[in-house]
Amino acid sequence: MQDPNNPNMNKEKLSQLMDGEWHDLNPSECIQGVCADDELRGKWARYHLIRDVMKNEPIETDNMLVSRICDAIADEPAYSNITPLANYSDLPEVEASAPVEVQAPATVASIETAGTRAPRSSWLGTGMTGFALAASVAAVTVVGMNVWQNQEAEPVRSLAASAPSTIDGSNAFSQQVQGAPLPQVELVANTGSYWMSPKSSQRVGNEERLNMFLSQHIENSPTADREGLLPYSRLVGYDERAQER
Amino acid sequence: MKFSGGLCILQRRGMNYTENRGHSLGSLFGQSWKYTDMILASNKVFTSETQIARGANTLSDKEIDLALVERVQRGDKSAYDLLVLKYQHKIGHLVSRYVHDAHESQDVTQEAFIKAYRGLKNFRGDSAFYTWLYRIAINTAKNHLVTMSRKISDTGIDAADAEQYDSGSALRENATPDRVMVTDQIARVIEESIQALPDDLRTAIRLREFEGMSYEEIAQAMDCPIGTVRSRIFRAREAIDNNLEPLLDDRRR
Repeated sequence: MQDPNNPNMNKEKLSQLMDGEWHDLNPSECIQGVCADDELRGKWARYHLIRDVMKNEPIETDNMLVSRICDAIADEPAYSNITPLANYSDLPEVEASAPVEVQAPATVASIETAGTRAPRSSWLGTGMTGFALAASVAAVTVVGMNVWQNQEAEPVRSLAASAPSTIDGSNAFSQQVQGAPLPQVELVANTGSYWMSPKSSQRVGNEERLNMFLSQHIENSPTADREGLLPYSRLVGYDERAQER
Repeated sequence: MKFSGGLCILQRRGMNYTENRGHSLGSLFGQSWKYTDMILASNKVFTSETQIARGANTLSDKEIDLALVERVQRGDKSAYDLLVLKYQHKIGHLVSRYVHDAHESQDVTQEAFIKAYRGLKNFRGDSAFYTWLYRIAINTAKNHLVTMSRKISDTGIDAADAEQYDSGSALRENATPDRVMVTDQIARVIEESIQALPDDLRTAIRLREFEGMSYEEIAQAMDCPIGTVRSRIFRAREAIDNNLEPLLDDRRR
């Protein structure tokens, strides 16, 4: 589009470009030419302003806005290697010297396909991809919940079975779950709500307050939300300890 | 089925010529617009099939935008500047519907364009670029109001209006005196410039901008070669621009 010897020709091509009349133009070359020429860019802006006003569309004339936006965009990284939306280089290009020919009437079907972008993917591709993704997420969720539930349930069962004894480093469960021997601690009875120490009545009050605090903390902790449906599964579960007895 | 040139123009838009005479197009330029310009432009008869043929060598606004977007995605930032230049008025006005402070409105408009640029990597062309940009601008404006803890003015404007912007009259109600004055000035200059055009240039630019006719259709309506139509439309734009540019330069100073 750049023709330094004939600036009017460039402007005429610009006018043609914004009307979408590509008869004898190379669209890519024209856009490149407009982008590179400040005068043509100004023309592009004013031609569109004229069009907006003639169509009675609202205008917002802030001259500094465009320069501010363009400056900000200049600071942004440029794109690269993005799959093109459409291959506009495949648009029919007519040599500049070639006369413009009136196209023969086209069928409705050809109109629908002419000048439109090639479909990026078929229905089958998008549908199967979405289905596969959803199935994968569902499978991971189910498996993950099962593993998590097992991991949570087993320590409770083991601890309940061994109460009121102590857990020492030789306990197979502690080796398996924790990966290292647990320190020897005193086990307290589970009364249902809070852990109660059978030995030291003096420590009961402190532990009760501590357990209450921990319970409230767990209930109100944001991490509790991650359990998802697990709290509800406990409500409908059976009492494993009662069955073991 | 055959139509006379002018009647076909009106029927193509689904309008009833007798009922809409002097109504829609005359609203901007008052009595200066005459349908007879179009109707009498040519007695040439053309068929509806010629309109169907349209599209082979023409691209819609949407497709031009997609071509520009494609260039941006290839790394040509200057192509995005053209999109900014093209849509600055619409987006600026849209944002001002939500954000009434002029300076904030400009900031939000700028932010919307920058967000759109950053999001172009995800733009797949499912919708028109302007529709996509429209949604970004609205969301940016609403987010701005939420951030500023202000009440969001719900205009009831849907993104579908972006596709048929001609009918988005609700968008035009937010007019400040300054905005009205500037718009009137520009509109008056353009109107006077059009009035001063020779008949053939005036008819060509009107058929193009008001009716959205292709060069080929205009060529048939005016009974002249396409190259002549191209030249007339360009000369008309240049004549208008020669009067408009000094006004904009004055405002810039």
